Amino acid sequence: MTAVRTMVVWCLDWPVVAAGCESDDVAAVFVANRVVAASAAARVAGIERGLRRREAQRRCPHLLVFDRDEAREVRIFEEVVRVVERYTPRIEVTRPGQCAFATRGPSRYFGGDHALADLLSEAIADVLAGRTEVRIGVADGPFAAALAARAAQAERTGCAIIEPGSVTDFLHPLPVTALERPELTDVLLRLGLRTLGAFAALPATDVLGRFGVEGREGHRLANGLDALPPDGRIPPPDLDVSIELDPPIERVDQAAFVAKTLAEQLEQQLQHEGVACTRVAIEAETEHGELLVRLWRHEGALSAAAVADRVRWQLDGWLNAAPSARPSGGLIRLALVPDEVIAAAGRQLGFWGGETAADERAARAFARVQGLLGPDAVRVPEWSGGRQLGDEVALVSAAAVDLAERSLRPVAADAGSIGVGVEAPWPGRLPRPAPSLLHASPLLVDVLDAAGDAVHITGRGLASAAPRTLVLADRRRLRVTAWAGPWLVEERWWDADRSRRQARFQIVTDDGGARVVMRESGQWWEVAAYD
Amino acid sequence: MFDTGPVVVRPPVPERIKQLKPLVLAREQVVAVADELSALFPAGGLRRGSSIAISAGPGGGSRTLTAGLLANATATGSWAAVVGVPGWNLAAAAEQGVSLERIAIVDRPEPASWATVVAALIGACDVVVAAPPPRVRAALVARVQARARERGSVLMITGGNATASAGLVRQADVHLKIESRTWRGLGVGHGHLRAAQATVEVTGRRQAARPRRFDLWLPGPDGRVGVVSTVADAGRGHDTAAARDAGPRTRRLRSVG
Repeated sequence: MTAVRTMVVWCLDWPVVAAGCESDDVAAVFVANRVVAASAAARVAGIERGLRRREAQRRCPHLLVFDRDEAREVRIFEEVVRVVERYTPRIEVTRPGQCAFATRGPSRYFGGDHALADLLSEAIADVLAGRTEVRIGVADGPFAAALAARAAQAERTGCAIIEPGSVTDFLHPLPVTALERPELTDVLLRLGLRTLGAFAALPATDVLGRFGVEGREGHRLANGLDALPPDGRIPPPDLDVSIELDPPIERVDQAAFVAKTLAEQLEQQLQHEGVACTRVAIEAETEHGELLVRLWRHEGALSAAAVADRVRWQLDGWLNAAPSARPSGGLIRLALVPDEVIAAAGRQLGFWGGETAADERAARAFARVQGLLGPDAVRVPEWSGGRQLGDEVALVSAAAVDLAERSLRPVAADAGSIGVGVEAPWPGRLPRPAPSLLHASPLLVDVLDAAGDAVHITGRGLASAAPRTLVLADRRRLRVTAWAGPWLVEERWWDADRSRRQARFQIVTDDGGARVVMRESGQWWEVAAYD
Repeated sequence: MFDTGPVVVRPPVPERIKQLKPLVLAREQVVAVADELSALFPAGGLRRGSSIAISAGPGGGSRTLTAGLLANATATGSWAAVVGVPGWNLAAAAEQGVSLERIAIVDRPEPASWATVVAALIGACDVVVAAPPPRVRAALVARVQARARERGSVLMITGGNATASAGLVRQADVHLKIESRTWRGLGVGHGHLRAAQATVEVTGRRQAARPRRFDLWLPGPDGRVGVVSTVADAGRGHDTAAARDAGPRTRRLRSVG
């Protein structure tokens, strides 16, 4: 059975458009320090997806840098979806910037796929008003249609139409990475299967046996079929959840709160039935009887948090639209209808390593604390490597990393081989053990010799005299019982602003404390202590 | 000495109890520490639901000792959360055996929300290291301790540098106090710090009431925290008096359990 004939409307570089850039601005949108989208002008300057921010700014110093704001992307994309809605109902938003719908009805009405695509591309070009270009792809199945949209050329009015039945001819020469399943395609490439055709030629049973469910899905897509066999997707009738809103809701923040509970309720219901949802319809009804419906699709299964996000974005799009398009009253009913469901494969918690119940529990607690104190309040360490104290380990927000994923990394038994950064030689690093207390900003101290004068560093890099007394930041005087140094570090001597020249000492005082003190720019600083 | 008498005969008894008892009672479930350090704790490890106070003299060492106690737990998959301990160099913690994949650092919260934050982490993380804000009410700490008891997490109260007030220390089930610390490896103008030897006094409530002293590496030449050698019961007058007071009580509790 072939897949449903689908039209995909794709607006190029949507995150950049949503950030408010014109098409000739040199701009890029970043998530977690990596480029996720770049404007056409930026691409010419060599900015590509996945590039680090620093590298991107090196290639293109006048690059405009934006953080991703998906809520805004959806809100602005709603204008485009509303245009498409004039031609057909039941549009599903795959992600902001891309939507899809079945063409069977509308193409027959408007006189064929070509006519419909031309109509749509003109109407969308009007609403986009030159901010970006639109590409339209029509093929059997949403996967092939999305690839067709990407293959569409601007000069052919931005439309690519793959005739019915010839979808495999279109798909088979494409590289296997088009599946966008990095773990699977990585293995396939190493097996020498470079095109979708080569992968599709394998027997389906062997693919299922070797690569499991993910492999089967990829194989079906490569053959121009739907990812899932059609029998697995009949939603049981009573899975929708809805809520009556009294008083009616007019603000997005109120609606977001409701969306969260509703999404959790939906997930519980789905779990109870042992299914997961791949497409959900968000329905809202206003005081004056208007019914707003929008479908959202997700490649994997939609989790409660993902559904809640999409509901919030969608409501934001509806409630904050231009006054002419805005619903005329507050929302009185909100419903989530799981439109396509698949049997939930479940998640097997790891027995050895991997994701454990403890990780999940911890992640939930950290999310709670982040709710209390702010998103950056909980941080987890990552190895970075460096010469200065405190450079070896960087703290990153726990919200930005997958806590379970981290645990998959090899944990070495001895500290010497934990990560690349630690293993790399950093000449000038203090010898082990590392001091356990680092002062956020160095404390101004004084190191005196036997005569009571400040010790200084000679031109040959030696201490002018043996340190005898350490005067702490709180003016307490401690007798020095043992010391060693100076260890000289001269960094970035070529850069006037960032160059550092310092001499470090280890000092043990008569109270039993050990400290790292440093002489830099004519002053003594306490930088760390062995607590 | 005359008052070491009962101590000499005691060691076989816990062994015998261990052999006779078939079950692990809920209050005896522990978060394991390195084998060497298990002697520090009456339960042989960090008893779930208990609280442990760590304080240090001017020589410091509380961060190193805390890391040594967390090492085994984090390496075996337990999560540890550290609340309000500023400036902890986790590279040092990793040298002392802490698995950085299982540790989370929480910024120092406002004093008003300290208890809420710690309570949220208790239960989710097996070990919660928390530095109470200055002048915290003892009742608040007691509430947090009660939650740890209920949820089976280990609460480590550390004050950074000797700021753990006397009241908090008295509330803890086990109190580890770093008394003196001697560094090795650093000469006058030569060498570098290699290891530190410290005397740690272990006191506490119930089974831990009898003060004991241990010589620990904080850290040792291999970077880890370990025991140098056990020092016999403290010879000081008030310590032995406390030991005599605690003796019968300890025995009574054991026979009930």
